[in-house]
Amino acid sequence: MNPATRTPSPPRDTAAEEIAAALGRDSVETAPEHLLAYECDGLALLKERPRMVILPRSTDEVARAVSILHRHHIPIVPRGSGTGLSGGATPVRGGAVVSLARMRRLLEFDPVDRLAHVELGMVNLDLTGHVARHGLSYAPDPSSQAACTLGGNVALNAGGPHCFKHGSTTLHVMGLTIVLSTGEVAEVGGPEPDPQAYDLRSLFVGSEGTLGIATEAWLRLQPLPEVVETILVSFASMDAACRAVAAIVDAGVEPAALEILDDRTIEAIEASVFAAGYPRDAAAVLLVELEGSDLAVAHASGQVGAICGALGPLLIQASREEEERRRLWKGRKGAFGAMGRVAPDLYVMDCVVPRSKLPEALAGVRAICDERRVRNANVFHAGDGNLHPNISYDGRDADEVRRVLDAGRAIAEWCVSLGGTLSGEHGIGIEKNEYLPLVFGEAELMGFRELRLALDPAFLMNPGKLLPRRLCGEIAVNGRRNS
Amino acid sequence: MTSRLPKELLDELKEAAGSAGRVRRSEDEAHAEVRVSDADGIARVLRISGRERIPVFTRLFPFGAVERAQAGIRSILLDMTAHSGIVRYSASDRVLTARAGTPLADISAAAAEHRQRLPVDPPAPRAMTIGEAVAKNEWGPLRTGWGTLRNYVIGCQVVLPNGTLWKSGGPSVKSATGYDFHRLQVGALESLAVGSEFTVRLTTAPVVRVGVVSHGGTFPTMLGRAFRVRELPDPPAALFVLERAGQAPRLCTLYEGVPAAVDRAASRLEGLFAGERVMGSALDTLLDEAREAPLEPGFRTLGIPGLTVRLTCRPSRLLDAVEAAQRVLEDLESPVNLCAHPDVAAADLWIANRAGADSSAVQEQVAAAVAAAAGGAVRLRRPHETHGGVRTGAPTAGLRLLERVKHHFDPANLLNPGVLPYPAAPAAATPRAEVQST
Repeated sequence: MNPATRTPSPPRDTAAEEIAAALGRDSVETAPEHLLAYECDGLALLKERPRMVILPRSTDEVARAVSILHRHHIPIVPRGSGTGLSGGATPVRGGAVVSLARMRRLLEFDPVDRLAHVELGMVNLDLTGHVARHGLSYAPDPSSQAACTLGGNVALNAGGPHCFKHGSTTLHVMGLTIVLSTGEVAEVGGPEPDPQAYDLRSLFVGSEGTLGIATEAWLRLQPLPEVVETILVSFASMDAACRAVAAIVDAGVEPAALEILDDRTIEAIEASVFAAGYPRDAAAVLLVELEGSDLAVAHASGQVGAICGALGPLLIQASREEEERRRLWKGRKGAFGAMGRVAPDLYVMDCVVPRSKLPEALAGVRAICDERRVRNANVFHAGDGNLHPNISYDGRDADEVRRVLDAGRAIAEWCVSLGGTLSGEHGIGIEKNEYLPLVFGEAELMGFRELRLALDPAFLMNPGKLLPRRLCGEIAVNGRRNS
Repeated sequence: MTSRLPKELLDELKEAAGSAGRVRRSEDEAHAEVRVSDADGIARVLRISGRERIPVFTRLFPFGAVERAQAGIRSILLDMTAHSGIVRYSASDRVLTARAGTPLADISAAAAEHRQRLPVDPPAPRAMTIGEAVAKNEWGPLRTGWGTLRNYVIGCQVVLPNGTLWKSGGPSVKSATGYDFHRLQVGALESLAVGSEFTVRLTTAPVVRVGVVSHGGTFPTMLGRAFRVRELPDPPAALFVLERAGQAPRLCTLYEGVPAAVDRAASRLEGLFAGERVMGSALDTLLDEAREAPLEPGFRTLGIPGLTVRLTCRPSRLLDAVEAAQRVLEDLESPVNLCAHPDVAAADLWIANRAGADSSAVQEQVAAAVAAAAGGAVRLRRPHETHGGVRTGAPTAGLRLLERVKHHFDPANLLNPGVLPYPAAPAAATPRAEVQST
């Protein structure tokens, strides 16, 4: 072969070679075709290819890899299953993606103490699968729970429908093993109920991998309830559904979940494989889940029936049968998947408003989207005031992408103006980092930055996330718009 | 040699406290007690503290003195008890914001008007302020069913040691927006920042409450029964075994909710372990006993100092931990009282410290015994002491992390110093990233 026509070999990546030597060659990917899958997470609006992907098998391997990356001053991007929706796992500054996909072991399960010690690459639903036969469950249940990892849940303080009663991830994490940016391993909390001195669990949960990589966790499990009843109520107006939610809470009922789906979501679901038999003529479907002892559930069910009955529902269905309940939830759980029929791409937003402002918030969201000629549908955790405005779009249409992003910003501003906040469970990531000044002043933002620098002085941990770009260090944020 | 606070500094502190504030100097003229009534006053005092390098100790409890100040060493006692009042309350959203010096009883009274409550029940609710409860992560018997303040604090406004006002979280009951500093404040003993306001979510107050008290058995028997209660389908709101010296242990279970369900749960328990129902004021007294007795045995009545340790461990190790602690305390030749919460995996043990044993030394001994027997942790529990202190043995990566966090917020170690057993570490020497100007 003529040397002049030979394809030049790529330059040696000494950091990747060192990591391969330390962890094994099959633990590092650098081939472009393998890196493609790690360009973004569930937020496909922004993509960037990493320099390498590392697939460690243990905390010790994570620590060794991170130590090498730190020495080479390479940005470190932790990743679970890549189901996040705020771009938290998108390597906007290139660098190395550290995937926990191979760390899925249940290290210890103690049914008496109701504790599980897990590696955080474990898929959320797998944990409940492991512990259910002992009458226990893990409460946080994001819609992606069949695919998302517990590590991603920790990073984003993930929630889910049942967090209305049981709280978000932070309330279920008792201890964490953290690999800091230098490769040092620190234990935060543990199997005992209270940590010593500062509750650093709170600081790390929801920190989006910017303070370290959480590799293992002690998680609190809870007993399965004696009875679960799911009630579906359909209404001719969204306003009536929202009033039902307010009245249920005001009446002192403590449901496990209070979820609402709007007409466009119902339409998408019923036309998809996730069809659950929701009434197509309804403007809103309210799902109420009650759990507890049979008498407590019977009492609450009566209250919910009376409250909703007074608001002129189109239909009320209640069931305690597992199969029927599963059907009622099928549409809700499959809502985001069902949107795939509407357009090639979906932007799932996440904002919170006070529960009392739900009708006003939803009307505003719809108006914002209509003004920008983007298609909006809503499915949300009504009990928490946690909205998920969904915008279906075609990523190949640059103008539509621009309008989608513009609508996203306007929705964020609108929710904050109502006394709400930017995210209830998806985190800030790269989706909303420029919106943070809507909720925090300069003092807080600088404080966040300083806190981050205190734990990661070189700003290597998931750079470009959680803070506005101007506070994210010296390396410019790369990334290309998906257009 | 006594280091006096100069008059000019006292004048400055008076000005910082504002017209509603108050400043007093101690007899040795080394300490100033500054009562403030707003966040601005807190900020001004902290700025003076930082400039003059004078430690600040906060007081959030209306009686009892903070004993951390050392004779002859200058310090400022920042009295927050006048910084009180409910700032906002949205009953429809079940969210309430109160200033740090607001007694929990005031919050309960406001919430009760809407059949709501903050389901955290630390001792002395008339005196206990929300700030104190957050700082010390105070809890009571309801922790079994309802958790701690960590479950309910959803936002805070704090003043950093440099006088900067800072907020975290807010009125949204669910948030994944920015670092969670408000929960970091829970149990931080005000050593990272001074809490000015706290926002909490409330829950619906129960329609009825019924307690069931069972007698007849040793402490291990009662603890075994408690674990059986834990497995029943009706989750209790409180579950504890109370053993006063010289009395038989009692297993106490509280059910809350709607009448039919509570009645059935209580009946089920009565069928298992012959017990008696307790309601109304008798129930309140029982819960008070579990909450408050460990705090001050003889404090008011006999003037005898009490010594209380709180141990925590995994639930299944609770008996081992309690027995290990009992053995140490019995050596002090004082009858041991105890209240154990099996679902929480915590127990308070207290004695009337007639022998005047050194409490820190006792804590060390109990901690070592509990750690060896059950892998648990122990802290002193004295109601009027701001600091619990951490005893963790040799420095570990986790401890270094704690130090870095403390050092980040309070580099001069002036705010309620002494929480960590080691001096705050200097910042890591790694070069820091520069801010990109845009």
